[in-house]
Amino acid sequence: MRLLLITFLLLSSNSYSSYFDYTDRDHTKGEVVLDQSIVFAGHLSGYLLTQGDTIDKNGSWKKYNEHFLDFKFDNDNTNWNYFGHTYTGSQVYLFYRARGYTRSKSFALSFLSSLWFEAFIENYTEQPSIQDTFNTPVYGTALGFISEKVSVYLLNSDSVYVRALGRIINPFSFMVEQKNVAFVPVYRDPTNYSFMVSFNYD
Amino acid sequence: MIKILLFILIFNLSAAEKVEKSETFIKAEAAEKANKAREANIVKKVAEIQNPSLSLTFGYPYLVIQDNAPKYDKDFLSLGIGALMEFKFDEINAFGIVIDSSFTPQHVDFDFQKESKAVGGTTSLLTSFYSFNYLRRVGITDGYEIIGSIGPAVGIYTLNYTQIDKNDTNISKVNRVRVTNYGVRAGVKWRNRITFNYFEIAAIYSVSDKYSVIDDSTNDAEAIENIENATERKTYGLLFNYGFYLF
Repeated sequence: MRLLLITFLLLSSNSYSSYFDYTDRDHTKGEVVLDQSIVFAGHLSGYLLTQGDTIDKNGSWKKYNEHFLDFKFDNDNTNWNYFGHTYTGSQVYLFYRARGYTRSKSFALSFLSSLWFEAFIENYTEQPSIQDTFNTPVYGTALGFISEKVSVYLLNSDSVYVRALGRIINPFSFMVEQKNVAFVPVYRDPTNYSFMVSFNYD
Repeated sequence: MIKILLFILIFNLSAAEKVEKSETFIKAEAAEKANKAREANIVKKVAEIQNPSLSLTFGYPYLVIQDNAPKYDKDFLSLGIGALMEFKFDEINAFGIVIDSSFTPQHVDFDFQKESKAVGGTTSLLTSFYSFNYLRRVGITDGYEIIGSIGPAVGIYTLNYTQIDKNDTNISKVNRVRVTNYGVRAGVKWRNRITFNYFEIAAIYSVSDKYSVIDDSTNDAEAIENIENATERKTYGLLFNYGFYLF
């Protein structure tokens, strides 16, 4: 009876909390194909939305065939090649991380996604770029790695503002299921009780 | 009844305090465990054959482009940043994709030969080399592994003149010159067997292949001139890098 009372009191005094962190898991081939397709669709949508003028001006299926797998160094400036692509690459990496892939696999899949974008989407308007193919996933993964660490730290803060900052840095963190932490009292004798911690990963 | 309610109230407060402390403790403990798991994961990942590992490098590049070696103090202010994407075949052999980028804000008296013409002055210098390397462990000591690497490289260097002293070309301060190179990269690194951090000395040798003069007056980055099969001119450099694995 006393144990039940203690349990009730603890439950009513905010004894449940949640802890944010990533959990790696195995994926089926179907899941990998689906996730690659989602990123491909995202890349295609972003390209259509942001490159409308370039598509009208330079795009053609003739060029698409001519450019196919004909990689070259592009003329883009440093800001775009090193900072713009690094940021987009980091978000692709964080998407795969949020889907439960290990860091290594997220990196490999980011690399493939970058390759698909250059080879199958962007060559409608220009030759696939060597810098973009490598810089985007490699430096993107490095930035994504840091963003993940920082966001995990921020998302475990007690402050709602700090947690909001964590969400801004890592928007795909919304796809990561939080782990619920329950503190369950363990009754030993009238003067001694302790807590058992239960993590819920579902 | 009042005693019971008082007991509930007092106990609730004390329990809440304990829970708060416990929660902080649990979070710290969980973070500690997560850190240990990540550290163990790095060791595991490096040992794995199928999954690529990624390391970042920072260092100093000593570059000589078209016989323009650093001469003045400002020329020596360079930063190299790079990355190594590594696929291990086994404990000894691996394949790596290496990126070596460097930035020199000011290189004084840089004479760029554009075929038979030249431009000279102060320029910033950006280099990016992409190498496909075979890596092999060639030695091992108690604390370190010695890893050699060699492979073909392609790259670019970009000149952006901020001051022009002499000029008989169409290159101006609103243009960038981008030169494509191909060559070879070879290196040796000493990797700590526990932390996996490493120090690397690498050499790059390449020759120019083609170059573009890019108009930076608009955002389109249009090439106003492209020269293919340019006269081959040499670029070589020594890179001194410190690297660490992210995973």
